[in-house]
Amino acid sequence: MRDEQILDVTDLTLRFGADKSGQGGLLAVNNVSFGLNRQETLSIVGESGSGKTTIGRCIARLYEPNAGQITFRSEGGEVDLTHMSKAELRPIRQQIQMLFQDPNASLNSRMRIGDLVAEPLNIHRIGTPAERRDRVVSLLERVGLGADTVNRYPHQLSGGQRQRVGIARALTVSPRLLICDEPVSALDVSVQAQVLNLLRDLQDEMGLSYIFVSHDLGVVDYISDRVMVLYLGTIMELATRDDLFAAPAHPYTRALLDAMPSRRDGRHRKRKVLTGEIAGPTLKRQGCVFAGRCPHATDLCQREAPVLRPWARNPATSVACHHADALDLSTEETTI
Amino acid sequence: MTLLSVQGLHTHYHVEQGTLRAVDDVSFEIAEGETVGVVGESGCGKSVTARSIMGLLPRRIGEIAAGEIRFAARGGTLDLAQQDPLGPVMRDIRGNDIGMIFQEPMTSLNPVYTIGAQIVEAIRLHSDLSKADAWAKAEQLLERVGINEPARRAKQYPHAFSGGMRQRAMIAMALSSDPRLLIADEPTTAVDVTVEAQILALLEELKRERNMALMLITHDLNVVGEIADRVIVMYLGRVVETTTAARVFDDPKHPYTRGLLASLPSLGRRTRLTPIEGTVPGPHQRPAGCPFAPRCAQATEKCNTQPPTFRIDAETSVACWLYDDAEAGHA
Repeated sequence: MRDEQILDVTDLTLRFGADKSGQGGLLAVNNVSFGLNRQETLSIVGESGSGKTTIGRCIARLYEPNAGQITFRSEGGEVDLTHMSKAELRPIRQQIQMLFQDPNASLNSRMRIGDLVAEPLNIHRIGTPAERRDRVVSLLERVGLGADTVNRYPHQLSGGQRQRVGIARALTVSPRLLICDEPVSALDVSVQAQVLNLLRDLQDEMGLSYIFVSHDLGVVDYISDRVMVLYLGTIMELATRDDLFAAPAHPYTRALLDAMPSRRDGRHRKRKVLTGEIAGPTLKRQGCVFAGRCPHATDLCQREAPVLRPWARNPATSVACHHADALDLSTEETTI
Repeated sequence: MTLLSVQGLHTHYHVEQGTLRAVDDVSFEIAEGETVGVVGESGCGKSVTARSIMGLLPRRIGEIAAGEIRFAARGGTLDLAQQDPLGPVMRDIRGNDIGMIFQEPMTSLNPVYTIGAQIVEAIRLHSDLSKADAWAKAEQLLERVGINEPARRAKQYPHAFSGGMRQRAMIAMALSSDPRLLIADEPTTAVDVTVEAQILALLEELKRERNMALMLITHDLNVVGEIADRVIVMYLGRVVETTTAARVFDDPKHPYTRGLLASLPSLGRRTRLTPIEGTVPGPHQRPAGCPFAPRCAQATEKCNTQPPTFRIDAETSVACWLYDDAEAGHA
């Protein structure tokens, strides 16, 4: 079952403010391709402005991509999400749900929790009113909230409880794919762990697939099967979690790992820090998007953009770097 | 030498629903040139503690109800808790002796003045430098905090700066008077991880070159492990544990500190996280005894009474009945 691919994204490109021919504007997602299996968690990591949220929103068709294909496979067969009308998308939307970072912003503050969780059932006209009520209560209980939560309003709940409501609401229509956009970033550490464990348990119980957008590599290491590292809308590296954290192939991945704060064991760790900040996405591009900050960049990197291809040392990892085969990043730290 | 000594601090917020004990009998010390991390989840009172020191409590709502905040200012040691927060003494302390930076620099920077003008304002409030000299100093400070082309950048408005550069500009402003203590309230929470690493490295450098003490308020234990010497762990307005940055990871004492570590996803950790049960109670549902008892797996009947602070040794003290065979003392 787990080998069954449910999502296949090919050459996804999105330009905000593009002209009619699909050119110009701001290149937010640049030729991104990946697949996702049933019951798999693929994390998308990168700094702000890297396009990680935008990819998730393209898959949910909250944004219209300019090019590329998003193939979604369900019991009903195979569909291309990029070329469907709003009406055709409606039944598919039951199967692809989103979970947002800020449950305050995504829950209507004037609706009771019971109505909020029942809303997707009403929209998709699923079940009788009595069945809907039962489903709402059983889901609230499953995510760890009491049946009495039904009559409360969002402001009466804590941040962690509100995120649980967001999860219950996304699950009412029995989706196959959940797009989680920084779902635990706004939560305190102790509550964050509760929600992460809940997401893991629900995945096993319901066979859910997750696209997990996060900037926190510790969380990503905990929850993912595979990880995509994104920089300025472009995939730098796509690898299994174990490979990525043990032996990163791309200098940017290495830099992200080095930047993680960690204890220094009683000595002053002379820490190496990546200089500069992520550039604006409107800059004219030539060469590798990361070349400006890369300690290993050469003339070739300034001139020519590397393509994403299997890494010679571990073909299971895909990497977009001219020098990936020659560099040994396993132990070194990025220089100041 | 002790720079700051907070003893038995109680800060109350008077709100519609009654009086809120935001900081409840907090004691700690910061030595000259030392980095102390204050950690805890939202609502634990870490920011209110900082605001109490700075005299920045909201007017008519926040009040220091009891306690001492002794600070070794350049002009002699003062009890900041006794000063009028709006008076000349506190104004002088805030500009000259203690600097503060906040989580979101955009809310502390004025969008309609250039970065340079705002730093010049800070400089001239506390010195008699001429405008031209103050401007030159502002450019030097911007250069020192790692902003390229400081002369050009000083003439720009905050919106032209990225998040990381704004935080650097705030640090430049806080440094303008050469403070002996810098209070940083979640300085890296709103920035990307690569920028966070840059800001932490900068703070560490500045602090070493100026022998400045740093009080770093954060919810992220990993940040504390990265740069702090000592750690204060707070829960519901109380200090539950004071220890060294190394020990907080190797030998945490208080069940809450242990719970935080067990909840913390970090690189290489693959075992299931064990979260602390429940949530931080609302400020009006403060438990009668130990504030952590309702969520604590090791709680006993004894915990219905607030535990005193037990001193384990010179470096570690903990407010938990599990350690009552150790000698009771003050942190």
